[in-house]
Amino acid sequence: MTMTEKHQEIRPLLAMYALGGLDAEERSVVDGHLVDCKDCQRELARFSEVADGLLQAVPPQAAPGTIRRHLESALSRRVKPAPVRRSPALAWTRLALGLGLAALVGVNLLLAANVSQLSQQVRDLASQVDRNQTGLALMTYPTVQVAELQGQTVFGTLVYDPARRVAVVYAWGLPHLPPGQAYQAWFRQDSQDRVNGGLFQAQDPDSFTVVVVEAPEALASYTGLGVTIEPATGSPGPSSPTVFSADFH
Amino acid sequence: MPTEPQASTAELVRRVAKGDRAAYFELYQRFADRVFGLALHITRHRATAEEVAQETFLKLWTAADSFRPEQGRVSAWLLTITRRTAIDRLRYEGRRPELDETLDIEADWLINLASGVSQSDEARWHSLYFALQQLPAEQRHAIALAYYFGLSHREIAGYLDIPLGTAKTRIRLGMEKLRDAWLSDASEQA
Repeated sequence: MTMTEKHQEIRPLLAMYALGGLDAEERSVVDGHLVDCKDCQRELARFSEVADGLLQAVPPQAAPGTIRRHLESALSRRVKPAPVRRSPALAWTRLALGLGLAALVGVNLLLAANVSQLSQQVRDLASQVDRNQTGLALMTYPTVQVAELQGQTVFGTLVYDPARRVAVVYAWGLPHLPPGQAYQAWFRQDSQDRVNGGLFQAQDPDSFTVVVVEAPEALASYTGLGVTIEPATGSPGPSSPTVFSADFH
Repeated sequence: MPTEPQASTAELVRRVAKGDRAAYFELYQRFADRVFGLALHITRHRATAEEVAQETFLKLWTAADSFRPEQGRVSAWLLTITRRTAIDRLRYEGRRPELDETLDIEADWLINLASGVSQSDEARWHSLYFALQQLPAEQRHAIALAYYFGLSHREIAGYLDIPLGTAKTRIRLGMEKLRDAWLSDASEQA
């Protein structure tokens, strides 16, 4: 392929490149061409300015005061670790969490370096890192709590802040399900009603499954969390025995 | 060329990297509305947008030492983190992007006089926003799906139920119009 032909092939991709929407293979091809093509470098720079402008062009909205208050609380404990209420029986949990997260970070780096993997794997990796970051961010909150998971073959912890709607589950030994099934999380209310907390799949039976679950209201409104096996499309209510559960303090 | 007071905001980020809380909350004061606005634009859910904005500023606290002034503005760096965090949140929740069908050309534009951003920059971004709203809906939607919701060409084609080539063309044509508007605005202000 001549330079001109290559140029004509690459030029239509520059706008999407600036928007960050090319897959890894396409991006690699464009990167190779950009090394020698000043025209495309200039064109990409212009599109990149537009992309930056698109971020700035979204109208600002008055940020709620709760955001700053949460940040002030989080930073007020910056020097010391956030106090975490837990039972003495969970003394092993921090070490297990640290080792598991370190293993997950190591696995993530390995996968990210494998450029022949398809972009779907890269996106899955980004979601996994983001779940870890959600858990790490949650741990900085001064009112974060940790609950032990109760299950026959599954164990681990639930990290949550009663004032928030999001919690992170770290579950060991959660088996993969056959096609057509999924794990479904339920938040338990005082009335014993169950509120859907979302569907998820096990990640690796030999390691952690990390799940971010979200409730419609602050977690202080609920007494605990339970997980059952349901159809992959979800169920209006629990229809099978609990795989594991956790009680909120 | 960036016209925001780089020495001012970049210096604040340097101080944040050393644990300066006053600098941190000065940056918060300057950029919270933009960060929250972008988070809300992408997630369309106030509570989720609050959490995305909080995560963004927590990442600022923990990753301030990774900012490189030569790579661009502090605001662009923060908004890129916001965009990435919001998109990941949508993906994790399995939520389908919601395109805003209302042509909000004269949207309330909350100007933060303490943001340190020049009026000319604000005017250019407002113009770009206007230019985006003026695009044919099919091009505007394709660009929004690509950038604000992080979809690939194939995903956009699937979402809009159009051929892959059509999705690529709509993005390219729309971005070319925005590029021309952006450059035209720059030459007028020069």
